[in-house]
Parts: sequence; C-alpha cells; structure tokens
Amino acid sequence: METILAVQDLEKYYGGKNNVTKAVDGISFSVAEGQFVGIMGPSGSGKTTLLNCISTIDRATTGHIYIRGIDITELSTKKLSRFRRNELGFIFQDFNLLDTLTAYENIALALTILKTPAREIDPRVRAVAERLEIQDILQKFPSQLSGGQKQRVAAARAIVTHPALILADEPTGALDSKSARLLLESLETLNRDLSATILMVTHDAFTASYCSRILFIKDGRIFNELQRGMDSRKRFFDRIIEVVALLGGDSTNVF
Amino acid sequence: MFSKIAFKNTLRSIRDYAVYFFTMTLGVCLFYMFNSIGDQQAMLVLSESQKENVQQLTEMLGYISVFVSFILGFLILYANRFLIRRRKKEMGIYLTLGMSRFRVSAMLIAETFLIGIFSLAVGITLGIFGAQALSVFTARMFQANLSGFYFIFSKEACLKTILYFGVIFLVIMAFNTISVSRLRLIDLIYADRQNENFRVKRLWISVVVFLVSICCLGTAYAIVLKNGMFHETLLLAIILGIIGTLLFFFSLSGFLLRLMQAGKKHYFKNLNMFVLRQINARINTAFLSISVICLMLFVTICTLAGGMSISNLVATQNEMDMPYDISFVCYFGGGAEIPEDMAARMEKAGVPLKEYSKASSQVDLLSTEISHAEMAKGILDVASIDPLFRPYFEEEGYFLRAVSLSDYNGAMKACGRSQMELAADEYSIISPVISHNSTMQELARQIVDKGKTITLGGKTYSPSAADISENSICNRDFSGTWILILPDETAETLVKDQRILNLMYKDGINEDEFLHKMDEALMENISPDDDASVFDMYTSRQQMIDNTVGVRVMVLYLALYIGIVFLIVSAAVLALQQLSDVSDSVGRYALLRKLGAEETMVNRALISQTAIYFFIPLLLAVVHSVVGLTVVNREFGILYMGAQMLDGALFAGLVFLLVYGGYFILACLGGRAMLRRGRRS
Repeated sequence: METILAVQDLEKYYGGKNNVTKAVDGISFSVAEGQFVGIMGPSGSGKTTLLNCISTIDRATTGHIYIRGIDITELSTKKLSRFRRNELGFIFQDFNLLDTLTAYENIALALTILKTPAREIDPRVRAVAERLEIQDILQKFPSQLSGGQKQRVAAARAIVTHPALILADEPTGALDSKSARLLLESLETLNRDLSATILMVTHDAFTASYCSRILFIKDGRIFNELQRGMDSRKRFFDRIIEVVALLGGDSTNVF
Repeated sequence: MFSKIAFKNTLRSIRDYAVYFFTMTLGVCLFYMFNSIGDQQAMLVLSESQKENVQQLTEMLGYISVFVSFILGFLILYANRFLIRRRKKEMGIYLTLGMSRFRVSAMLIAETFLIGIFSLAVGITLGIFGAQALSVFTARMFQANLSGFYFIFSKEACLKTILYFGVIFLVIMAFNTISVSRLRLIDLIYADRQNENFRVKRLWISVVVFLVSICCLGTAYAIVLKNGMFHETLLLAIILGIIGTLLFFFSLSGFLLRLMQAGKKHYFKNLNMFVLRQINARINTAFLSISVICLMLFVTICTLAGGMSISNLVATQNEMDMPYDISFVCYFGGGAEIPEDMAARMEKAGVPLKEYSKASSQVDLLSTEISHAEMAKGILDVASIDPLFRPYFEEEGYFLRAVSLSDYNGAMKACGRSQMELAADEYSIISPVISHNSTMQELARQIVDKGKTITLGGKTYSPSAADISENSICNRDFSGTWILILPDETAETLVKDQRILNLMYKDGINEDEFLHKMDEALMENISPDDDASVFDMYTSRQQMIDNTVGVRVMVLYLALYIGIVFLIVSAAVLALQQLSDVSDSVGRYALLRKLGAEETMVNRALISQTAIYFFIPLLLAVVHSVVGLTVVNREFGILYMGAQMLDGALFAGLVFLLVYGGYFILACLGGRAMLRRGRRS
C-alpha cells in the first residue's frame, strides 16, 4: 500500500520567548492508502492543531508533513492553495455549507474551484450524490436540510474532487446519534468502496469505533495507538473506552 | 485610559471605515466650496452687475445648502448606524467588563467628536483648495480677469460649515447615546450570530417578473417618447417607470441566475455561481434601496446634463446680434402723442449723452397690418417650417413692423455697418440671427427671391434685389419676427409704435459711471408723476452679457452642487451596503479559501460582486437618462452640443468618475480588508 500521509517529528509552538506552548510536541506517524484513521484526545491535547497543520491551514514550527510524497511544509502560499484543492477534502463540525447555494451547487463548488470543465461537473456530482444517497435533496438549500443531510452533502463535497486524503474535524459533533450513525456508515462506505483515505479528529468513542486505527494524543504527544484488526465494532469500542478512561479522565494520573 | 481607547478607535475607524470618513470629508469640502463663492470673488475683477449676480448666486447657494445639509445629515446618520452595528460586539465586551453605559456613551461621543474634528479639518483644507479652483472656473465663466492669484480663506463659509456639521455631529452623538442606552447585553455578545433570514424564491417567478418589468419600462419609454412631457400620460409613464425599475431589480439576479444556469459553461466557471447566488440572496432586502439609488442616479445625471445644457442655452443668447453699446426704448402704445427727439429729451433731463457717446441713432419702429401668414401665403409650405417658428405663420395677428430707410441707415452708420439702398417702390426685410438658428433668414430669402409683393396704402412694393438685412436695429431679440425696411415717404404714413435710441460710447468709458450719472440726473429732474417718461427701458450690451453669464453660472453651480450631493448619497449608500454585506459573508469567503480557492480567485469574486452592485443601477439609470434627455431635448431643444459644452460635460464626467469610482474603490478595498481580518481571527 502506498503511504498517503507521513508526519515526521512535527512540532508546533505558540507564544514568545518566555512562555512557549507546545501544542504539538514531536509527533510522527504515517497513514497508508485506504486507511480510516481516528485521532482522539482530550481538549487542549493538540489534535485540532495537528489537523490544521496537515490541512495546510496552519504552518508547523518544525518537522515535515508529506502527502503523497510532497513536503507541504516547504510549499509557498500559492502552491499550498492549489495543493489543498487538489489533494485534500474537508468535512467540518459545523458543516460549513454555503447557505446561499443549493446542495448540488455546494458539491459543484469544489469542482469549479478546481476549474473542472463544466460538462464533467454534472455526472460527477450525481455519481457522488448517489453514493451518499442524497440524490433527492440536491435542489434544496442547506436551510431546508437536516443536520445529517447537511453533513452528507459536506461529505459529498469532500469526496467529489477525488482527494488523496479526507480530513474530518469532529464530523458528528453537531449531529444527533441517528444522523451520526448514518454519516459514519457513509464514511465507512466511502472508505471501503472507494478506498478513500480518511483522517478524522473526534473525542467521541462511538464515532472513533468506525475507524480502522486510532491515535491517542495527550499534551501534544502520541500517547497510545489502537488497531481495530479483526475485532467487532463493539469490542473495538470497549478497547477505546479503556484507553479513554486512562487518558481522558485527567484526574487518574494527577497525583 | 478611556480617551486613549477612544483615540485609538478613531484612528481605526478612519482606516477601517474609510467610506464613512470619505463621505464626511467630501460633504464638508463641498459645503465649504459652494458657500465660499461669495468671498472668493475678491480674487476677481467684476463689474457692478457681475457683483450683483455673484451676490444672487451666493444667496441661492445658501438656501440650497440648508437642503443639502439635511441630506448629508441623514446620510451620515445612516453611515453611523452601519458603523455602530458593526461594533456591537465590541461594546458588549466593554459592558461585560463592567464599564458603565455612561462611560461607553462618553467614549462614543469622544470618538464622534474626534472624527468630526478630523473630517472637518481635512474637508475644509480640501475645500479651500477646491474653492480656489472654483474661482478660476468662475472667472472663466464671467470672462473676468483674476486680480491676482492669492489664497482666500472664507471665515464665514468656514464658520457656517462648522456650525452645520457641528449640528449633524451633535445629532449623531445623541443618536449613539440613545442606541447605547437601549443595548441589551445578550444581543451584543451574539451580535455577529444573526438569524439567517433567507427565503427561497423560485427562479421561474423571477424570469416572469423580469419580463414584466421590461414590458413596464418599455411601455413607459414608449409613452414618453411618443407623447412628450406635456401630456396627461406623463404621470402614467412615471408610475410605470418606477414600478418597472423596482421589478427590474427585484428579479434581475434571479433572471441572471436562471440564464446562467441554462448555459452551464459560465455558471460553473470560477466562482460565478457563488457571486450570483450571493447577490441573489440579498436582493430580497436590497432591491428597494437599489431601485431608489438607480432613480437617484437618474435624477443626478439629468440634473448634471440638464444644468450644463440649460447653462449653455443661456449662453447662446450671447450670440444675439448686439451692435450698440446701449439702446433706450420708448413705447408709444398706438396713437399717443409723438414726443420730440429722444436724445434731446434726455439731454434736457440732464443725462450727459454728449459727454459719453461718440455716435447715436434714433429709430422709429412702425406698425403695419401685414402679417407673417400673409407674407408666407402662396410661397412657403407652412407645414414644413421648424415647429419653433411655425406658429408665427399659422396664426393670424403676428404683424410685421417696419422702419424707414433713413432710420435704418442711420443706425447702421452709428455702429459702422454698411448702408442699404431702396427704390421708391421697393422694400427689404430685417431678420437678425440668434442662437445660430437661421431658419427665419432662409424663409425671408425665399420670399424675396420669389418676388413677393406687398401693398401699403394702395401702393404695391416689390422686394429689393439686394440681400435681406441681418443687422439688429436695437439690442433686442427680434429673431422671431421680421421688420420691413420701407422708403421714407411710405414710412411716414404708418403709425409709430416705439422709438429707439442707440448709443455708442466713447472709448475707455466706464459704463457703471455713465449709468450712475444718468440715474442721478433723472432722480433730480423728473418727478414721478410726469406722464411721459424719458424712456421706458434700456438694454446695455455689457449688462446683457453679464446677466446671461450670471444665470448661466447660477444654473450650472446649482446643478453641480445638487448633482454631486445626490451622487455622493447614492454612491455612499451603495458602498455601505456592499461593505455590510461583505462583513456578513466573511464566513462564506473564509470557507472558499479553506476549500482551496486562491486569493486572486476570491478577490475577483469580491470585486465582480461589488462591480455588479455598483454598475447595474448606473446602467439602468443611464438608459433612463438617455430616454428622458431625448424627450427633454425634443421639447426644449436644449441639448445643443456646442464646443463650449464639451468643457462642462468633461468636467461633469470627471466629477462623476471621481466620486462614483472613488466609492467603488473604497468598497472593494474595504471589503478586502474585512476578508483579511476575517481570515486572521
């Protein structure tokens, strides 16, 4: 399997000389093609900073991030935006759909930014909509959609450009449990059928249980790693809970 | 501490809310410029009558300034409201930190005060320079000399500006204090999370409404073009025009959207889809103000173009033939006693004619019973005559007047023009040209060429073989009628209607001095109850020129003043609305960037959105104006595109470009700055 993402000794410091905050403090890992990787950790552990660095929204202090072999820490701002639209797909917690555009247009927007020829746009939008079972709501505006539908439209927008890596930041954070389950099943389908590589940040153990591999982060370092292997989801969920209890309570190791 | 915050906020406001500052500065500058005209005349060498004209102009501009200050006051209040809304969150933070409402109000008052002082200072400084330029322009219009180019600071205009704008700032302070006292903390903290009031409109409705609006506008145009201005259907046309304009902007974005969607190629190109949707999303609330702005731009264009043209029309009166320095006229009113020689009468009344004039001539204007219609009978095709002059020939009762050959030749001798000869049974026609319109002269020549004979006192006269005369026998407009020249013995049989005395001054004579002496003499020697006056009126060449220029300058300056103020209001409101929209959409633009849209792509989307917003209303306003001005031109024939008009048109165009373009650029820059800030946070 080709390595899609490789993070090497990544560090991200905030603040000045006297009070340095190490948000990310020497993280290294790699993600192979077709993996569904979760990143878990308590608030302030640095998981969002890590995601921001990978998604090129933020710049790392030191270290390297390779996506498909390209070191994105070395790219210029202009190349970065080109890289971002070509290789990355985003799913945000609060959907981030444009309320002025229909669902269809929201998905198409990702393609128009890529300057895709107009005639290719329609078949590609319809194909991805079918895959995520949102064909019926394409002509509706976000305000007319439920949270789950919105997030599936966002997922469709992320996948329609065939990115190397899909980055999801708490995608179920704003959904009720039924919608969350539907979305996660969709992501699972994308991962399995299209072998899409997904990197998902979450603090919810149930959401994380859909991943094939989970990295736990605390205080900017990798604290633990779980592989689902052949476990059932229930079994995997229990293992996650164990680690979370160890990691997340914060109070267990204090004294 | 608080004053420090206030000071910093002021600096930030000037940078971030450039539109607000620009509007106030421009308002102050304009206000000072037009109010200082009275004092600026110190730079010019003006005659008495010119001074009087400038005096009238100053008074008129003073009245208009009250109206202007109201308009600008409302505009500044509107801009201020926009500014306060943007800063609600900031004020919420002050209040949560425990600052009292009084303190917050005091801070806002201090800020308004500082901005006021700053914009007054900058505006008046610019105004002083502007006023200098305006005086040069005034001097050129009056064809007066500059007595010297030096800086004039009009204290009166400055104080007036400070007073008027001071009142506006006081109102704003009061307004801000009230709005702070009515703030609710919870609203302030969540001020940036407003409800999405987004209604979905069906696109096909837009298409239908758009077609209806085009029909409305088309009908309105057709009615006006067909029936002209003075017809009862004008009101209908205006109502249709307003409805059409409203519907046009209500449906335009939806229509464009539908149109673009039909041709997928452009719709899915770059961020076109986003821009169109963005405009469509807010048109529901904005179409009303855009329509009003469009109509205001229409009024602005008509005011500027109309002002230029009327001013120019007045100027063409300068082109009237005025061969004498001054003409005195005495009316007899049919059958009154014929007094003795007019010059002698004036001398007797103590008017020092001989002292001042080097040549004089007396002309008696006689009545005849030959009408213009009669002259035209059998020779001219009345129906094909220029409508401006047609009534003279269609209706009976427009009788020709006549002068005797020797009176005519005397007048010509006085002003140094060539004499005329007539046989005892010949006549000729006088028809002076005015406003470069030689219709009457051509008609007269046709009549002469066809050998039209006239009968007076049983005797028949045929036209002289020599060309007709285009020379005036008096400094007056005789363009619409003809005057016959008749042999002396025939003239003696006719009734005298008016007596005219034309004078030529000696070289180097100051007319103001002569008129002054004349007034004094008449005051002294003529008692009011004397029944025969020495003369009924006089027309001096210099005064005629001064008056026409005076009217010209007045019309032009009023048009410029009102036009520019309207322009500022329209452009400022557009810019503020655009900025307000951008700041509401910062999140949307940020998302575009997250999705990988390049900076240039996002900026282009922003600029094209602003451009559509600015130029579509302008476009429709221009179409309205073309139709409107065509009609006005047809009714009054005022759009005479002479060479001197070009100057004014260029100037108006430049002003338009500067103000409108300035606001457009400010809106673009301001929007971009907002997006940058949005990205940082």
